[in-house]
Amino acid sequence: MDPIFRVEHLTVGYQNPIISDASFDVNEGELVGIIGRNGQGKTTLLRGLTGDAKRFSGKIYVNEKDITKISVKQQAKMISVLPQKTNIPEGVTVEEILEMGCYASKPFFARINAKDKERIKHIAKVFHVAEFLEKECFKLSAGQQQMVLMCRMFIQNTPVMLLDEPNAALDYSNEQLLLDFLRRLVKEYKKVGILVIHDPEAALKWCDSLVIINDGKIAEKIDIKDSSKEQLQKALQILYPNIQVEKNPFCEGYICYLKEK
Amino acid sequence: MYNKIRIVSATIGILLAIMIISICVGSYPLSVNQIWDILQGKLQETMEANVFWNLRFPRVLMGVVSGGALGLAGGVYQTIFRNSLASPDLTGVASGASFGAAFAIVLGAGSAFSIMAGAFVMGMLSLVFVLLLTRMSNMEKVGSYILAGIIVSSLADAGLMMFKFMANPEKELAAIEFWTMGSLSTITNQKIVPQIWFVIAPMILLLLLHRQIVILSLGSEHARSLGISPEVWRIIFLSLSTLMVAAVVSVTGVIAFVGLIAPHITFIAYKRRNAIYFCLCAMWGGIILLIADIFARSLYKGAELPLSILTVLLSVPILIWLLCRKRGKNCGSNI
Amino acid sequence: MKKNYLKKLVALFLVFSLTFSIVACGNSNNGNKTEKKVETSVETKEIKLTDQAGRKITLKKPAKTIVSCYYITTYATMALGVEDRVVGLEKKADSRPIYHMAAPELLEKTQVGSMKEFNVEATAKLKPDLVIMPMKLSEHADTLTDLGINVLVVNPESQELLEEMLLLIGKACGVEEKAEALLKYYDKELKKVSKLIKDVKKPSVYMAGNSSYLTTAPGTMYQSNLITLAGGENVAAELKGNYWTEVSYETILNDNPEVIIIPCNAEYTKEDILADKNLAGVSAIKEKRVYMMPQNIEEWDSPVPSGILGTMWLTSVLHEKEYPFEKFQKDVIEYYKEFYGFEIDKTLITK
Repeated sequence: MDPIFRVEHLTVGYQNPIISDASFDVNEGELVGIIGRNGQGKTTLLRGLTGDAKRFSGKIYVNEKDITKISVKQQAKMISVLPQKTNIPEGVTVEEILEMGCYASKPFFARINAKDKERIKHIAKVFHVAEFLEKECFKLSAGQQQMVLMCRMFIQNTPVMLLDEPNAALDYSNEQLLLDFLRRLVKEYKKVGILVIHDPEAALKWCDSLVIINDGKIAEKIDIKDSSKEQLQKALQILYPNIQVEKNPFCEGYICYLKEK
Repeated sequence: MYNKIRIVSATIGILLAIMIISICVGSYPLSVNQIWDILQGKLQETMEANVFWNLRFPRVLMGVVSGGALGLAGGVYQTIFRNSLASPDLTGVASGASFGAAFAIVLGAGSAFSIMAGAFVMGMLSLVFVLLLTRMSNMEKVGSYILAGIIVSSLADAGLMMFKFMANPEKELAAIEFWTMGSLSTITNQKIVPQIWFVIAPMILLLLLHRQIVILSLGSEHARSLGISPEVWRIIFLSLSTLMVAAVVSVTGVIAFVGLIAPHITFIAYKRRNAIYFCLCAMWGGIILLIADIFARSLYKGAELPLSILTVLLSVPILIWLLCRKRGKNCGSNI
Repeated sequence: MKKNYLKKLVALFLVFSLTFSIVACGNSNNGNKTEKKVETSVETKEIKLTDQAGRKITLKKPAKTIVSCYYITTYATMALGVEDRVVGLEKKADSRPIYHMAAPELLEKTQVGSMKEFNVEATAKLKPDLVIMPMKLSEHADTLTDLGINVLVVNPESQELLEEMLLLIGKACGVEEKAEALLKYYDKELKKVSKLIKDVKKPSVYMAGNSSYLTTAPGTMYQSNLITLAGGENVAAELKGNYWTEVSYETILNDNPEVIIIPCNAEYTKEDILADKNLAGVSAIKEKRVYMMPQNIEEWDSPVPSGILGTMWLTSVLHEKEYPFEKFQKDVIEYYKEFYGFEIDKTLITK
């Protein structure tokens, strides 16, 4: 089956290229973790995918359509983003934020009708944010805001979802909740999820595959289920030479630790 | 929710009341009965009807529209740039317009038309310079626009100082000073006719585009994710606002503070940024300006005071009152 | 806590008000000192004067070289017949028509500055016996006296102060009798004018400003006084303020003046006012009684030495029957012949 999301020889950056010649595919129902060290360009790669950073060369295909050539409005029907900073100003209610997601998937002059409002309420219930609809989003906690934004992403209903370290500001239980939600969404609705994440253990737990960024390039894309523990360890050692990957004796998955030299 | 309805209806009520008072006040005595007759079409061709239709009515109309435009521009900028100090002069339009007016007064004909044209052209040019500067800086961040606006304003102010120095103190200097303090005293129905459309059309457009304005306030990344190209839409909103404000300033001169204060009053009272917020910004702008204008023409019988002094004196107590109300709710008893 | 805060606020407010009132009082004491002491010491032929800023000046002999810092003092030297002693004068001198007509040699002299910037060094270089300076530039007076140059500070803001200034300059130059002759002329003409207008009806007059005709002169201004002397009533007499004040069309329509007067240096013309549709209902427009002071002679609407001609012009304009314009024109020609020593072109005397 053809991958829904394809990146071909993409070079992105700001004044100068930061990530060069990136190529990888993602299939539907696959949650990819982009992993790398601080400052190596994970966020830049993500921003290059959306167009917030400069795309120097290369192509990006969603459902065989090259999104580097289309307008921002059309792109919003294919890619939705949850940026690292929630950045929500005062004076906007949760309902208004969710409606933005709905408008993004409609043409310019469209209005929201009763059916749309129903759908929004329904989805809000699923994401546990229905009780905050009338509240100002600014007044919610960081975790709740992230859930609102994820809910918005879902309402926008794009085939590809990009998330930039959504768990960064969350406490442990909210982090587990959000990543679980994300994973289930991607699986159930056959979406493409691309997640920037820095914790290798969390990445191994929640993602289907890893894209490893090192030295301004994509070092490797590795499928987690299909790889052995040794292969995973070798891949992660590109980033952290001391890292050890072991099977988790208590539940399914892996644990990672840094070995003393 | 009920509270919000109260605020909106109170604002509309105050605006209508002030408009009615404003129409009845003036140096030329027109009684309420006379005005009522004139509105019904009677008393045609009399001095009273002429004064009403040529002077009084356009003045009130321009006052509402100008205040509305300034308040709306302030609201748009404070939302997009997430900066409560943003005013309609963010792109340097008021400074540029002052420069243009001074140019016309000192080096040009000094006629009313040339002052208006000079102010309008230079006001719009200041936007062009701001856009060029942000393009040159290669960083289309929010901060770049504010910085570019400061640069352009400062240049225009320096130019204005130069013209003031060159000006003849007996004639030109007084004219420049009065223009930079703003006034509705020279409004007649001939003066407002083309300009008022340049104010009303962008106002309507901006109100219709309220959703895009709020989306843009979330930042470039969120906006792009939701289908709003940040670069394109920022330019659209800056251009519409500048057009509106340049048209106002070219007719009335520089009226300070209205565009800065009206959005604050609105946000502190209404607490939301949506379509109604922007309407309220415009309405409060109109209210403040009209009240200031009522005082400007009636405080000293026969004389016309400049508007900017009064808009500041009016706005500050309202703002202090609102701040105190807000503070009382959130804090404990210690200062 | 709250009480302390309030006390601090009240204390601060009191301090501010006290400071402000002290400063305000101090300022009001400095303005408008008019002292009339002038003595000439017969034995040593020294001239001792007190100028209009209260400064004391001593001249060993009448000034033979003069620097005049603005147009009113230069006009004064012309009216007193001492323009040939002027070695330095104000900037933009060539914009004054009277210099071209009556004393073109003035245009060749050094220009030392204006109300905005005054060149002390250029003045010093000329080594004048006397510098005549307006009050606005008086901060430079001490600089010049430190260099050993005599400075006479003048402030001709009213008819009374103007006459005093003429006497001071006359004494300083040893031409006191010319000053007295001029003052006698003022007296004579003012008496003539007041007799002419004694029993005549006083028309209402609107005096428009220089930059725009939507500005006018309140009752405290010299121009308003001019109207009263000429037998008219200033419609803006009740207006508050000491300077040209903005008004709206409505005010003018309401005041409905019978006559509108445009000053000499106006940026606009009679035709501009007559063509303005918004003023169409005003009596002065309907009767076409809009007049403009002659632009190409002197500024008769300000306290200049020839200011008496402004009063006479206005009287003639307001009361054509009692003082025909033809006669006024003749009086002007005689005045310039006697005091300025030249024949003025009659066509310049317009309305």
